[in-house]
Amino acid sequence: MSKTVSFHLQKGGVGKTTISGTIASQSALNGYTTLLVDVDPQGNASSWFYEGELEWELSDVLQGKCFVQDAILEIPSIPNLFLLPTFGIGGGLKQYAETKIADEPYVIQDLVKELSETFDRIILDLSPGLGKLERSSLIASDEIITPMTPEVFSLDGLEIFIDELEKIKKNLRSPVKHNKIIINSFDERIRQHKDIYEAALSGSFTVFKIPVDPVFRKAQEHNMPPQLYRARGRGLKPITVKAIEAIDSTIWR
Amino acid sequence: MIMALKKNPETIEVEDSMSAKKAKQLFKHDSKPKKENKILTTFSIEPSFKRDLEEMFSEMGLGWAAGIRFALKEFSKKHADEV
Repeated sequence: MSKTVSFHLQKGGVGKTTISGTIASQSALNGYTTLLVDVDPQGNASSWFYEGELEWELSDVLQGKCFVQDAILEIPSIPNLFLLPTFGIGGGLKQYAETKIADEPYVIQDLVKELSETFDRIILDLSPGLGKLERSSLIASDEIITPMTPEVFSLDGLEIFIDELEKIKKNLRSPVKHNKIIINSFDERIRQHKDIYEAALSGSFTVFKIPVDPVFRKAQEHNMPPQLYRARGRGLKPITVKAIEAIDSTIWR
Repeated sequence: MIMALKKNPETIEVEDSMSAKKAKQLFKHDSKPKKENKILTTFSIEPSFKRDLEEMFSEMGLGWAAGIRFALKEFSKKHADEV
């Protein structure tokens, strides 16, 4: 059975796109047909995995300008990974999010339902914020996992997100699950990071941590998944690889 | 002469950082049992009876939904006592 996951916190810079792309790659490398849907008008996930010009994007699919199959790309360097892209420049998703989606809050849910027949796993990469586009995407997901950085603004963000999500679930009648967080850019030498991690473990969330690893940024610069990137023979730190595998092995259950 | 460094006894132990305090508060709150969510339920009722009830609830400072919930809770309590 297909499963759809969103990695979301309305705060920017916590690693939503990096984690979405990395976990999508991990899932695909493990042999599952995986679709990464770029629901961010900036189109960062798209430019990470694809170079070149395309004819169709997500907003065209949502507005019925093309068939969904016309817009989905196979990523040649990663078997089983597919992308439903958004154009960062000249794209129509931002305008669509500001206008038409207000009349059709379940449009992403309908799209995901259709895609679930083709893909084992679907990941929605969202932009920061909690506007109509993000709300529509959240209720289209089976599960939301919150990435955060170990600092006070992320904690504020998580508190706000928990509160807002309850309202979204109630108003849009959604059963979406939210019981996992990922503490990203974790540095065990920093006491603040350890304090936040330990406090998080004491709550009801399942908590993962991803260490600081420069390979994420370098892999993105080279349009590659972090798992396959090597510079002078070196790739992700072993502890990072373990963290990614732990997240991947848990979230798709 | 080289001597081992000695801890200054007047040093104040560092308390939790702001973020550690915030994290403890947030996740402690999060681990509390959550209030049960409500489900939507619908039923039909005669308009005149509805008006009477609305008037009664209004005098009690209750809206329609809150009034119905209150009335059902009272009924349930009374019934439970009888049993």
